[in-house]
Amino acid sequence: MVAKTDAQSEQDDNVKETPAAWEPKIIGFLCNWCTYAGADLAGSSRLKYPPNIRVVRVPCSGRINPQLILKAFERGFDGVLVSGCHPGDCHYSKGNYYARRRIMLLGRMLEYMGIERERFHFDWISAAEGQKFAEVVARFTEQVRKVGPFKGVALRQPVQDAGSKESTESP
Amino acid sequence: MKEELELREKARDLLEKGDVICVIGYGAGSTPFKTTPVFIEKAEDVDKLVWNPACVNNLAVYLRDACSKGRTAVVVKPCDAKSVVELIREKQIKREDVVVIAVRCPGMLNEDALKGFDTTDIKSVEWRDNKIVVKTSDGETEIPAQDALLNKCLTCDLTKSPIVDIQIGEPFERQPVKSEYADLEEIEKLTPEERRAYWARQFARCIRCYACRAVCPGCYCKECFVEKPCQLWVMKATDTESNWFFHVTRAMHTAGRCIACGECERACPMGLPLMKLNAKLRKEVAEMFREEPGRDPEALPTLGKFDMKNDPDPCGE
Repeated sequence: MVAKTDAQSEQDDNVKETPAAWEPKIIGFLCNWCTYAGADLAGSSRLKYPPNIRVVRVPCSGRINPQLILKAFERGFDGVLVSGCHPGDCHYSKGNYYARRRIMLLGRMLEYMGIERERFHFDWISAAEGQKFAEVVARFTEQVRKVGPFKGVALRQPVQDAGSKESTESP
Repeated sequence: MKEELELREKARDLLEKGDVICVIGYGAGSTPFKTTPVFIEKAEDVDKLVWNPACVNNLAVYLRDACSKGRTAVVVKPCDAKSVVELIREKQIKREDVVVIAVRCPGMLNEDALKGFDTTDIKSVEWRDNKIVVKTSDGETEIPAQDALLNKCLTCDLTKSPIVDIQIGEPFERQPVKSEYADLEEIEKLTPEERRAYWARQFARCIRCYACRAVCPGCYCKECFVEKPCQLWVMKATDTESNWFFHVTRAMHTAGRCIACGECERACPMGLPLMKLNAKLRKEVAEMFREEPGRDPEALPTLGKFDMKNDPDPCGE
């Protein structure tokens, strides 16, 4: 994998229709105490992982408002990664337990809304798991690459589907 | 009708004794198959109260305001009572500030059932056993429950109100005709792309009038996220993306709290299938956390607690 500058990534957005030039754009919400430190460790250990992820550092996985994830998909990110301390290891003792309920529920909802399961990943990565972080990001990036570019929640291109039978359709 | 008279008697009693300052109930609407919420503050006005198959509104939505002024009585169907439970559970009203008048409810009328009738000629709509009777100048027509009732009434398994101070009439013995989640299957079986297209088509129609939010007893934030001036969660324009974001977020905000009164979907002027969002979350909450909102006023909110051992784990899935 070749690292890309931001300018190149921006360009990629405009050529999403040409899969050859397309690179998945992924946003990662990482907890400050575990996963962000894990990502840092991956970096300082000089481990390689795909540059497709843009990291947002949050104080705790419990801080991750489902709206942040919904917004990421609404704005057209191809994948969202959420990660925090392992259960039992939360810096604030139980933030990740609350997060777990919320994010699991959101994951099911995203699937129901038609966002492929492969586009959303939720994992526990500790500050010592630099290796795991690199692996998770690599695996997730490939997974998103396989599903292809995300066409957005409004899906501007018309698609034939069985929903036309709906009684609640506009007259 | 028997229940109607008894309801008026009890309301008069409450107001005369000064037990409550207001009785929120249903009054006659513009036609015999519509009702409108009424706020009775004087004993002599109790005859405005009605009870018929058109009492569809969930009056719990008014309780926060009403209870802040003084003790209030509210007329509920067993399903609406779940909203009262939720309001108490979420500490929006105090148990002692509300008098719950639960009335026998054999199910509420789906107005679509009247499509074959000349609606200007309908004299009354009443219950008879398990059926709805529509009286017109040509006589009576009986419609079986399955064709006459709201979807939520067909899936209702609530015989007894979960919270009650005054019971009017014998609780109606309920048998759900179908599962609440039956309608979800047609969406769940679609491919992700088809699902996304389905929802995009629905939300493209939304005019963001926020009627769904206004009727929801669970939507009581003083400042809703859509109106926060410095956080652009959603655009002012009604583009499909913003509508999508609004509805999915609203559904998430009511996750574990929605009691499926169906008011959002009923109030929607564009006919969006909003209950398909809520029902999905209700199903997942029931499956993953074994919770059903609206039963226990003492319980902690579903997303405000956790179960260390039994909660599903992303690494276990």
